[in-house]
Amino acid sequence: MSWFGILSEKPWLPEAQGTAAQWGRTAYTPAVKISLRFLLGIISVFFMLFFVTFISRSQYDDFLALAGEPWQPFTHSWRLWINSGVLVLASVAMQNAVYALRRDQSLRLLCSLAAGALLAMLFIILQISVWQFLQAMGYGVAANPANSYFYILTGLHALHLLGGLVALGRVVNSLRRDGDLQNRHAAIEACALYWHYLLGLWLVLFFMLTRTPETYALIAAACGLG
Amino acid sequence: MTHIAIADQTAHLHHPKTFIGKYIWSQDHKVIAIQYSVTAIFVGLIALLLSVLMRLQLGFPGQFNFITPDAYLQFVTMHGMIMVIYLLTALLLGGFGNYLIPLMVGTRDMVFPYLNMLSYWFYLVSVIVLMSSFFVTGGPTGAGWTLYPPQSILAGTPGAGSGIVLMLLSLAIFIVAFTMGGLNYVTTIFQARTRGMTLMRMPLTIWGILTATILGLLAFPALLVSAIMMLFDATLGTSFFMPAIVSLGEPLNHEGGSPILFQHLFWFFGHPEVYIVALPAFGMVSDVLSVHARKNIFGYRMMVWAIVIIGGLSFIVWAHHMYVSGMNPYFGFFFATTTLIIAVPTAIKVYNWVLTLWKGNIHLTVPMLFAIGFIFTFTHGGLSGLFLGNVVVDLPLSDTFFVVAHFHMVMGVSPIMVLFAALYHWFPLVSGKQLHTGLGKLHFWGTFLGTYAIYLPMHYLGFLGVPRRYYALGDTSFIPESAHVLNEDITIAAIIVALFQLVFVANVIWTLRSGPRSVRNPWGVASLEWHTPDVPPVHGNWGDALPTVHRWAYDYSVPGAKQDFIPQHVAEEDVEYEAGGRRSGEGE
Amino acid sequence: MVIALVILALVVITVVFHLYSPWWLTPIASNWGAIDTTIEISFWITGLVFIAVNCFLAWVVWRYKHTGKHKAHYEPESKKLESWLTILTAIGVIAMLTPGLIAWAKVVNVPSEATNVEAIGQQWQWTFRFPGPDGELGGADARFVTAQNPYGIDPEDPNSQDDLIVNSHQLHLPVGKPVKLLLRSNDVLHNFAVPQFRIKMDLVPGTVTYQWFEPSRTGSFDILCEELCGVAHFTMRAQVIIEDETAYEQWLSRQPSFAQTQRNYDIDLVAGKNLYATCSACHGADGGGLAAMQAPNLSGLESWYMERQLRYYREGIRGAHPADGGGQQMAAMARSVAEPRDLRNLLAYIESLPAIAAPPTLAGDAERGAQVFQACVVCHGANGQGTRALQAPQLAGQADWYLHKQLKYFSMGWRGKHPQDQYGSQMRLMTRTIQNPERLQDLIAYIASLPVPGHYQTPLAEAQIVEGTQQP
Repeated sequence: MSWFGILSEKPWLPEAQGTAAQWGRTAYTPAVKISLRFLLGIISVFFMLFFVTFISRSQYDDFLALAGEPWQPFTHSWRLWINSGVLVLASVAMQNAVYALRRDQSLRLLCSLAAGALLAMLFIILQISVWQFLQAMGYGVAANPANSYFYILTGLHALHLLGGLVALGRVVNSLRRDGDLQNRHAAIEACALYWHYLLGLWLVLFFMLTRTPETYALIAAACGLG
Repeated sequence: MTHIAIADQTAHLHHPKTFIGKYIWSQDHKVIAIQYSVTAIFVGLIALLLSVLMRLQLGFPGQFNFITPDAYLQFVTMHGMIMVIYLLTALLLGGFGNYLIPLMVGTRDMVFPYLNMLSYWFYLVSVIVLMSSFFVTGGPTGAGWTLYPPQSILAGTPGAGSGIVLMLLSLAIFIVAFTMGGLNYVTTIFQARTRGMTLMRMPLTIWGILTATILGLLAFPALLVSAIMMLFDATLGTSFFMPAIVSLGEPLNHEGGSPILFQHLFWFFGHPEVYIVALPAFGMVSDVLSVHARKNIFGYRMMVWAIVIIGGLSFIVWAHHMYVSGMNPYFGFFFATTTLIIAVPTAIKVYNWVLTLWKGNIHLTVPMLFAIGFIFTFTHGGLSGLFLGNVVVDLPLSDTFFVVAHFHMVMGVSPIMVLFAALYHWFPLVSGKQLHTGLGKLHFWGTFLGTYAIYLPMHYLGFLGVPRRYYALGDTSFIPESAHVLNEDITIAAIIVALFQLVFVANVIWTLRSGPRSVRNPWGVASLEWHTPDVPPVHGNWGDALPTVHRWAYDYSVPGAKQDFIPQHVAEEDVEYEAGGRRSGEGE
Repeated sequence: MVIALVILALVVITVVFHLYSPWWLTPIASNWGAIDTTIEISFWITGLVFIAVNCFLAWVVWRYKHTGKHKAHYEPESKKLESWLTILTAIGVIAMLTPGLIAWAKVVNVPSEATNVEAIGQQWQWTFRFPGPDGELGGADARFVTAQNPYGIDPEDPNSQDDLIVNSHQLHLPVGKPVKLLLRSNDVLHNFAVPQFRIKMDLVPGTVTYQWFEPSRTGSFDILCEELCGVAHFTMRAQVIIEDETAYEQWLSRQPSFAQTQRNYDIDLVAGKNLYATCSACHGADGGGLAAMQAPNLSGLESWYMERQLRYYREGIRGAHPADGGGQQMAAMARSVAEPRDLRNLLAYIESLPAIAAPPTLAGDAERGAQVFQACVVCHGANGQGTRALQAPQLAGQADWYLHKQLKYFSMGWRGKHPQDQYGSQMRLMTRTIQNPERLQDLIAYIASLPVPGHYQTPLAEAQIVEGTQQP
């Protein structure tokens, strides 16, 4: 039923004969998935708000984009491409785990989960090395708003990934305890979805943080923030 | 729509045996609710004390050694922040939300009990971090509860060093706690309702809590974003909100930031926050009015729509807090219009509350008195909001005591009236004992009349133009001596109101220790929470089988029915009717 | 039953209170009558709704109270009633919003003939700037702020040279002429509000905000900062004086241009020393002061502070109260150095004297005084060294009997009550934190225990003195 239909029900009317029997299990969506969808929505709002402030800030005179001129750190952003590759692999590993789960292959499942987790950790370490690279080039956190945003947004992304690792750890732990794969189906699928989401988020961040001033001007004009 | 399998998951319920497992690290939503409530009421009492101290300074300036200008601003700030976030939000959603959602929608617990427990402990940590700022050098922040930069992180403001950092950290932790709790509430309401509990059969309390939670989940990120950016500005020297400025004669290293950006982010959270507090209160007061008037809520559908519409609109009115902030003045047209539009659904709610009483059978119990008091105070507070929302009228009134009086009427006094109505109403369910009626009435009269004595005259100080957040008024040509006398009277009223709250505390303690046991369902309520096998409900709530819902929560005084209420889980064929009284589709 | 009567009584009380309240909008003094009209319309509409809803509520509670004799009606909803109420409410809202938005359109659109005036807010003082003869205000930015250019006006901008600087918290404006106020802050958020004009707007560092109005009657009105701007927020006040065109023009012609305030003068310390001979009779040759003569310690004071005080004495802003005997004496002496060049030389000489600490004469508990001193720290500095940007003089080393007397004068209103004494009125408000004589003694004892800093001089001032002494 559409939301409009639901909200215009008249609940005080006596129920039709036999309605009671209809209520029961319809399409079953696990609670984990529903709340994950809400969570992803919240995280999206959270980063959206950052983007809005970022784009409007990018139009101030003192904003120096991180790419554009040859001497700027992300004009050739091979480091970030490597990191992206690692995160893509992590996502692939998690998806592989979901396939393994569907075919009931325990070993493949555990190996894939381990690979997904390790690659995520590797990604975080590589991100830290990017920070060190920036520091070494003199692009400190307070030196320019563009740098501040780079540190803050990549840092928060890494924190979300860490949170995912904690959740994954709990799921794997309970796998070991129960040994019952089917019960954890929804939880593992949720983890995989979260990994994909963070990959997508990273790609958006990558795009947003490494544009040239001209592109920012275009985006700002398109969003009405110029 | 509903999934009995989720509602009925007994396998996931923890059944701890030890005292600590049952009452400290509990995953039972009812215990968590009580933990939330007790903590919130405790910090609320601290905030009440702070408000008395601040009033002492305003009423009797220069009489109290320890209230320096620093201390005064710190009292103002901490009072505001504690009341809005750590008391009202936590008590309404963490306390009442936790307790009532599973019982009202008919499930055994929240869908993620462990997360629910974590939510409380994070909340407790945030409270401890906040309180610790009273004990660091410089004390808590005195930047006003809006924490506007640049001033909040600069010397010249109390607590600009560690106080503000602790405040921001505490807020961040609170937001994490709220998100964990909120995900639970929303998922539970959407996914774990019992058989027959359609969305439109839910009590309005649940609608209020649901909408408020969704608002909170979407609005708190804005506060988190601004808190993180301000933390960076304060500790790492970035320039998100800090333009190039000179502070107390010293040029600072910041450049290019925008203080108004913070205000936009803050109020993008701050306005929905008003409704995060108000909507659960709207819902609960609807249920209390309906039960004690023995009459169905008038215009249930309109009430649900109003809640949803108010929730939606609350995201596009935020800049009405910023009419004089220096933002683009053309925004004023848009935000004044949206703000005044929000008055329409809100007014409908007021009409429907009064119309619920109309032709009712009104039992003047203590919860009912508080609910009636709420209608009065909320009408007053809502109407004064029409002045402030109308952009041009906001020019003379903004930043004066009119604003203080308005928001205390609308989001201080009014939600607190509902909170007390709800506490008296649900106390027998939670504890099995009924609060003393005489003391309850005394508490009601003191609170209701006392708060009105505080805030009615305060509006007029605002018309006069008396500014808020002033440590002392001094001699200003337009403020007559009588205004100082009025300030004294307001302070006396505030102290009296504060003392009357002790009556409530005493009532709770006395009732818990030696009050008589209450009868089962003393008010004759139709909604599910009063129909558990055990009262107070035990872990798992529903015994062997979940109830099946056959009707809405408002079947009071149904024509022809023998009993004056029909519980939600009673099927039509089980209802006892008087001869020839069986109803058929009225209300069409 | 009681609740119904009480609700009814509260409605009556509210209406009566409203009608007879002595606290009401201040008599309007600007063109914004439309705001008052909108308030009045809002009062009629909201007042009627308030009375109607609550009287109906009271009646319902009285009429349908539980008696055991009647049963509640069963009525889930009434589309017709609800629709009517919605429409009526919407009409009421439109009736309030329309005049409001029409008035706002006027607020937003500044008339082209309005004069530009800049109001500068700094913790916790107000100053103003008028465009000079060229009619253009020069550029400004917090980054231009120096000791000599405290308002951050662009020294390179040709437009700023002739701008008139009102180094006072009293703003004069002509009656009946529209004014566009440009609001600028160099530190934190402030707010420029005048209740009688019905105007109010924040000052936001990093940008310039504005508002406009047309004063409609003459008189003096309070300007208040209404955006929390730190500890001394409540002391940040000023006045706007509305007068006729000629008086305004006269006042304006007395204000110095920006270029004048930036001029560096040659200093003749020898001439200054000669002038000081008169002062040394009371203040001592070393400037250390003499308790017997009621003369405070001048060594360690900076020239900007002494200049202001001498001006106050000369103009009867300070030392005019009969209770202030020493002040009256000083007022007479101050009039003997009216020539600006003499004044500059004299003050430069006093500033060049090495700072010495006056001996303590009063007893008090310095430890407890340290707590009282917390309220002073923000402006006068943690060591009482003074802060020029906040117009706060050095306290360390000053004679304790003198500080004691002056704080008493402030709290009694014998000093700082003159409307032109902006910092004096701040001090009057701040002395409220002292509260009783014991705490005053303790505070003085604490200040007496502070170390006397080396003589503070800006590099610029040193250069001037050197230049001055080289002159033949």
